[in-house]
Amino acid sequence: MKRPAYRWDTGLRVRVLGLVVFLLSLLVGLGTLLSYTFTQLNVLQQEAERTRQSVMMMERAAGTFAEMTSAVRGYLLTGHETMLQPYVSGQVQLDQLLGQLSAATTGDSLQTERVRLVEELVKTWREKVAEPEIASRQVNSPETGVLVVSSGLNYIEEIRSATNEYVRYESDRLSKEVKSVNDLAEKLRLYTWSGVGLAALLALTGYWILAGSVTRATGALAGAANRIAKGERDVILERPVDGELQEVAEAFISMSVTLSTQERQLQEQQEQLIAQNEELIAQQESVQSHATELERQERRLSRLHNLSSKMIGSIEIDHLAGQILDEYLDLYGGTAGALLLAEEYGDRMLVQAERWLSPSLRGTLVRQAGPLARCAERSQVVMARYPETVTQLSVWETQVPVAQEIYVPLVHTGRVIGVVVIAFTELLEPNAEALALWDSIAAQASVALAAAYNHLEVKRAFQSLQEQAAQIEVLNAQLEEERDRAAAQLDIYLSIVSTMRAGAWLCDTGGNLLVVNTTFREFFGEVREDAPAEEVLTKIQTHLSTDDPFLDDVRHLIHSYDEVTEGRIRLSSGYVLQWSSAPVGTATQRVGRLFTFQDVTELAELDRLKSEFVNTVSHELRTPLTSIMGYLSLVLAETVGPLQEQQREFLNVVSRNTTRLANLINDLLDIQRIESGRTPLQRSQVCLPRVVQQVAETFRVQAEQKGLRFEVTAAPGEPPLISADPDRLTQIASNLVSNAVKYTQRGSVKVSVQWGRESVDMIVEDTGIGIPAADQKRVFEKFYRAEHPYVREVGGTGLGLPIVKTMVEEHGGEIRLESVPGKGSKFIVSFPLLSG
Amino acid sequence: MPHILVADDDLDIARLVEFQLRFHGFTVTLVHDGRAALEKAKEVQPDLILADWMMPTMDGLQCLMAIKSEPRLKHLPVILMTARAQAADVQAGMAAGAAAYLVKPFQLEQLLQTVRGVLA
Repeated sequence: MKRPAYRWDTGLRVRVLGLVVFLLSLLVGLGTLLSYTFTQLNVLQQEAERTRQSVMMMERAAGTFAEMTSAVRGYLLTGHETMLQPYVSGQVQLDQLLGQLSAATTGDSLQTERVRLVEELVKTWREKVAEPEIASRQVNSPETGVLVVSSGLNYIEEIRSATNEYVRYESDRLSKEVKSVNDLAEKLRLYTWSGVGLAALLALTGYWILAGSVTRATGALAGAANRIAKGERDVILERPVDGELQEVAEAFISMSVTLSTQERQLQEQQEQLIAQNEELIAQQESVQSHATELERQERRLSRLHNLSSKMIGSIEIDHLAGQILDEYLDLYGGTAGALLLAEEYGDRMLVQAERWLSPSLRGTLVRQAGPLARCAERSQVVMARYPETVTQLSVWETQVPVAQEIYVPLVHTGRVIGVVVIAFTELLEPNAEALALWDSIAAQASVALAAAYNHLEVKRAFQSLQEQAAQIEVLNAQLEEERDRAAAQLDIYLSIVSTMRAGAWLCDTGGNLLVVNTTFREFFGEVREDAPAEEVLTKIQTHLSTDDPFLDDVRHLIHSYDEVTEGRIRLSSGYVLQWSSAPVGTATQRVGRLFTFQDVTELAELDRLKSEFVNTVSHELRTPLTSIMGYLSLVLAETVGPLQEQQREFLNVVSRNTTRLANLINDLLDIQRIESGRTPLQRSQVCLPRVVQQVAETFRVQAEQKGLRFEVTAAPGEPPLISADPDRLTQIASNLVSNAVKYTQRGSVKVSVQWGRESVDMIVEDTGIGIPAADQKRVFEKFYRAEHPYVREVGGTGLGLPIVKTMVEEHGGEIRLESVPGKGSKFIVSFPLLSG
Repeated sequence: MPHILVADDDLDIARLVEFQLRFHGFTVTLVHDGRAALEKAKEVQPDLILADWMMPTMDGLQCLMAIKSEPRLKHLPVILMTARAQAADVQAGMAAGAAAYLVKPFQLEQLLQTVRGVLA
């Protein structure tokens, strides 16, 4: 469908509007013309009126003048003054009329001139004729009879002719104007008629054109509609239309498009319907054939149903097997038969049921061979035929005449679970339907058999479960017994814990209280059950005599896996408690942590007494030593006189041992002090290399006097700081360097400091006598002295290294020893770095 | 030569110190208790006082503090001699204004060095 090209054209509405406007303007023009003509007519009428008035006034003036002349003549004749009356009043009237006339005739110079002439003449007449004659008449008696009327006649004649002239002129003009009014009226009539005629003509023409175009457009539409109605579809509106018709045409075109689309759709649907109809017919046919098939199947199914309903009742496998076998025999009239079930493992089959064979066969195992094996392996019906009737079945050795055997496999979930064997005395040719039925029965039978088999299994399983349950009951009883024993044991443990002379606090891994015993309550008061660690600690804190790092230690320990830790706390009540803590539980299952508090108040008192004793004794020992050493040195220095050689030698021995005694006392004091823990570390941030260097340098002279090479080094770079007591560091370094110098006869002593990510190490290395492996641990024991002649010669207290070790450990550090006898020793002291 | 006042209740030690110092040319005055030391110091105006800590009537530390509170004596250097060698003791002595601290038993050489060091 082609759309006609749209041609621009004036719309119908526009055209009508144009026509109306044209007619209106025509009418307006005509009206204007008429109005103008009317105005013109009016002017002419007014003009005519004015003319008529002036003529009238002029005639009245002429009349008045005639009366005046008559009055003068009368007076002259009679001499009666009364005769002069019209003359006097006529003068005023005449002046008035002439004034009006001259006003009315301004614009026409000729007429104005005539009026002026009349005025002039009247005036002249009055002055030169009437007035003198009247005056002379009043003077002269009328008997003289002097008449001078003749001279006045000139003027009268002249005035008359002038007025006549004026009137004639005006009359002429009036008649001319009347004529032009008439002409104009004629013209007006003509204009009116011709205007109306033209308008009518134009209206007719417009109507004719419009009607023509509408007729053409509707004609085209009607034509197109007819053609569509007749079935033509590709209708083109050849004649373009416009305006409302354009809209109609477009609607029309779209309608025709819709129509043709719908028609096509209808056609397609019709075709589809035809196709569907054919399909239906085909289906009907197939339904009919299916119905036939269904009837057949129904027959078969009813048989199967019989079998199923029989089988459903029997869950006992023996009974079921017999029924299946009976069904087969019943169906096909076999002479004898058997149902064999496959072993789950192995290649033999069990005779589950037999008919018309020996009952002793039941329960025997038959090897898979021949047709039986083929049937079982291929899972298909196998027929074995014997050309001459044999008296033995191939599978079982029984005296039965057999012409043919049929082996039907029983398949369940893809496995051959058994085979039905039926023997016939005659040859049999089963058709396809019979074979299908066998298969169906076999399938049904297989399911039933499998179900029965499962039932058997379930029964067995149930039995074994029952046995297990019995065993479990026995075990349960044992467990209960053990639990009771464990509970009893726990009671014993708890009673031990509660009667323990030490306070005990057991908490779980989260720090929550599990158990506290009576002694603990005696020390710290009552504690709520399940109290969290902080609550217990607060309780403990109120009983401590001073702030103690113990609380922080506990906080740390609760969440740690640390092994046994211990320490002492002093209570404000005067008790001194030795506490220790250890994790509770196995490696795999942690229970929590146990804290015990042992009353060591008496022990602590003993300790105090001991240290006081040591202090006093040491002090008391030192004072006499001062005198001994002093006077000895004076004598040895020969300040008080010369000594003999042997005297000197012996006094030297005294001096050496005195020094040793002094050292021993110093070391004893040191170690006692550290062990008592009475002087806590005065920690500050210390630069280890600097301390070591200072200490080491004090031994340089001594070492070099012995002929040793003495080296003090530190790793390059900014050394990290450690938190330590500088006095103790000094003592540690001093003891180690002094030992190295003391026990080295030749070679070198090297002192160095190194550091890594986690620690700062002080290393003191010598080429001295070395320490045998067996002694390497014991050198850190108190008063231990290695068995070496030189050691005895040098003399020492046996306390230097134990002091070093104790001090290093006080700082959380460790000391290691590497030594080879005769080659030298190397002591490495590691201090942990300040964290953060 | 500098004049040194030595105070020690142990007569043997007092004599030993006196001998050593005289031997090395110092002038020495000996007293045997704290109070005597204080009075003698006012009297003789020594250059240095060597005082034992543990003495009758007034111990070394008290004597030291008395000297340091006496306007005429407070410029006097005092060396404490003692068998109390613990850090706390040394600190207490130094805090009270001791010029040096000699721990008994000391070597005579050590005594001499300390005295010379303080007087220098």
